[in-house]
Amino acid sequence: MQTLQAENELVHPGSFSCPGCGLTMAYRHVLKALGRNTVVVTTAGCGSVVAGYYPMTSIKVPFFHCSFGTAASTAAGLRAGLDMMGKENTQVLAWAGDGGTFDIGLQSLSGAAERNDNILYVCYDNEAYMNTGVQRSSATPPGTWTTTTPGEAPEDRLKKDIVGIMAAHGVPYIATACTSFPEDLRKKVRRARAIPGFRFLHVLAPCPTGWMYAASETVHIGRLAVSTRTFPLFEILDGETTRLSPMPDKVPVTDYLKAQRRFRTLNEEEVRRIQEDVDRRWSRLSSAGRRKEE
Amino acid sequence: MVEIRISGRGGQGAVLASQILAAALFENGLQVQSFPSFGAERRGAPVSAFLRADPEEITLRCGILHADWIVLFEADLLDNPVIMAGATPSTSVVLNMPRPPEKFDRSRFQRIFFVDASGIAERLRLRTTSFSIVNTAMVGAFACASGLVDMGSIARAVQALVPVKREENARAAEEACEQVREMVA
Amino acid sequence: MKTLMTGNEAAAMGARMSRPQVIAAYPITPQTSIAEKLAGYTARKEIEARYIKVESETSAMAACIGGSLSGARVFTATSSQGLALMHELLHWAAGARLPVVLVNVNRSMAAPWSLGVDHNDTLSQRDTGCLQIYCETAQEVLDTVPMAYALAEKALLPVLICMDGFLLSHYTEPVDLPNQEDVDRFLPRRRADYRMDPNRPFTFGGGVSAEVLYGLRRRMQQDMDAAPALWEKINRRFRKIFARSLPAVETHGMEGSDLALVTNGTMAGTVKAYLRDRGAEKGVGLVKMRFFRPFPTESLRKVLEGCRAAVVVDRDLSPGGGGIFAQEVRAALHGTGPGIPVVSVIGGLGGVDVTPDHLDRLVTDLRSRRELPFETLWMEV
Repeated sequence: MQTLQAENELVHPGSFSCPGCGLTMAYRHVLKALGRNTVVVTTAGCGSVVAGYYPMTSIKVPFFHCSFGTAASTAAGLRAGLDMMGKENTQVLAWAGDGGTFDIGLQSLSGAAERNDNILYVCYDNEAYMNTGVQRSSATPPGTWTTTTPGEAPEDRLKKDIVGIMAAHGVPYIATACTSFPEDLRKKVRRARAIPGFRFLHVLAPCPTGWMYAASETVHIGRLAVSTRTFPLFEILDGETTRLSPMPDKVPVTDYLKAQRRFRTLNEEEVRRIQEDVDRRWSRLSSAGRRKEE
Repeated sequence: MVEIRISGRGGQGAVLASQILAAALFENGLQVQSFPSFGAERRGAPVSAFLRADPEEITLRCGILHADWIVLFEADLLDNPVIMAGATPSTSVVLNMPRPPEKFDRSRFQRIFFVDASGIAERLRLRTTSFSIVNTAMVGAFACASGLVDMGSIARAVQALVPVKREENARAAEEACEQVREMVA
Repeated sequence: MKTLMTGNEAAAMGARMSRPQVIAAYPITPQTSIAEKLAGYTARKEIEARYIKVESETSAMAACIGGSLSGARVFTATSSQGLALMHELLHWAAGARLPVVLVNVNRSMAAPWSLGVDHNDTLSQRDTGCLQIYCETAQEVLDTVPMAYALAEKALLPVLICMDGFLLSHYTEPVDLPNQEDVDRFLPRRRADYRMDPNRPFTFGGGVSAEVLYGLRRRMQQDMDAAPALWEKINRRFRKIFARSLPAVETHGMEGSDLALVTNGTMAGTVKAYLRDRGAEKGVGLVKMRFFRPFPTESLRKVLEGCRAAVVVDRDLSPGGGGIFAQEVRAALHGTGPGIPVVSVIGGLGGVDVTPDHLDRLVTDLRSRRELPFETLWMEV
């Protein structure tokens, strides 16, 4: 097991995140794995708050706050410019939340993926518009309470299959990851770093504020998301080959749902349907991929 | 200032014809301005291209309201009021037709020229699947009918601007120049 | 070398000669041929640039912002709805102080759908922090592009070059083509003091306090205020090499005239044609406004001094407000000496023809009035 060495940190200690913030962990691990020769663009969202407030910044590499819907195209332009400036080896990271990826940024994301622009796009997914105070996005799973899907009418649509959409673009590298599995996350970032072309990482980033659990439970909640197979870990190469990542043994989805008050209105029947949906997607995924001990 | 209107159907190359003429007139030392009719283009629909030439700089930026010359790739466009807008009895026309029109009101125009541009284009195999490409022939006919521009300049402009079959197109202009006739009363 | 080209070809050539390193564009009538030309130059390696075939104008400007942040020189072109789609990003580019140069081929805004020219698309970008320059001829377009880079890279603000759709973009006309070596001498490679460089990391565009934002906006205004003097300097340098210049405000036949027709873009050309035939006899001159942002208040006051009236012909309309240039001219002249009345005239919306006869009827009408009208006049179609 690799130890996390403090001298490789590219994120300064202290940030504007809530206690127990999942995306801040992801931010740290992703940058650590990418290294110093990196530039970052981020869209509006928790990530832009975590990045810091003038005259402070939380990051040791160049960083640009871009418009909400344009992480991918801003990064694509930056990539082209750096190439022209003779900086082909500098990694360009587009860092966007689920709103900036699944919703308002989907068009520019699709454009950059289709062109196979040489950037690493990481979506930190906390499953709602958290920075504006918990409104549903198309990444919000069924049964979730948010301020725009209140108790009387909780979210009733399935979470958008962003990885399926990206896979359909045939990009060279896609992976899912979770902040509760930092070695897996960093390994995937390092893998992505070595592949030219468009690379997409979908990182589940639990959010104590919006998901309504104790700040100390973030790692636990993330582990449950993976062990219940609500958020399985895998890679897709060239939009074709699915490769499952090591995961803990499967447990019932109710363990995950019960641990978060955002799911508090769910009844037994609804939980059963969520379990069915998780099982269906898991069986499809595990037959597509082959388990590989690493 | 001379103002010229060239009209044909979408795909026949009226715009290119105006550019060839503009280049030739420019080479002759005149200031020129050429432009297409505005709007989305559609194959087969009547289209026009416009040309101004003057020894002085041309600053005017508006449609041609009075045409000194009208060049028609298809003689039936004579009856199209949109195409013929700006025609007055002081306008001269160059028509693509094998022989002079019968029963024609001679007083409509100052001078009337005709040339069998379609015949020339057909013989030189200048055609698409649906119609013959008469633009270079009509440019040659106009040059000799008007006397405004010499054939050497036309030939060079054709070489410079026509994307395919440059030799045939240059021939078409030359033959039309020789064959164009004025209708006499 | 004298040659013939369309306004769009001149824009593409101006861009080519300015050696942009990142180009991102999306097709829209009547701009498309600029994008096509630049794609061709890049594909044939006639220019050393990356051409990003973006999926929208929003992404075109976003890619330009990203490209500009790397320190590279960037270019894009658009029209009408496409510019409207860029609107948010123009604020980002200006706020981030990036010297993006874009050409907009003016076209009226839908609905209803129209391909003709008016200036509502660019004037809607008035408050973004982009400089705005209007062109009359293909030569001006060609010259303005490298000059705009010189200005943008000094002022650290984007420049929006405006040219009339069809009336300029699709008119083929004579242009004096500069030598590439001369353009290179005039416009060396961009030197970006602040860029996204891992060896010298900065954070750009992050959250600020109200006080910091206030200060940055004030700074932007100061840099806008300084732009006219900067432009004059750039003009002097340009004239030395190319024997041409493009002042922020230009006059024709104003000597001995008491009535000024104030306008911009290709309309100025038609006014010139009118003046050549009837200017002296009618006592009319032309004030052609090349700059809209920053608004050339001082130059305008100077050239209009002693005029009986300024007749502003707007090819635009702020519904409920009237002619946009007229409002700005009124504001600029307010409080000057005895005060010069401004007559506001709307003409040419959607590309409708404005001919010398229209202008003559307007002047004759105004001459016949005892009092100049304050209400907006509409040219007849």
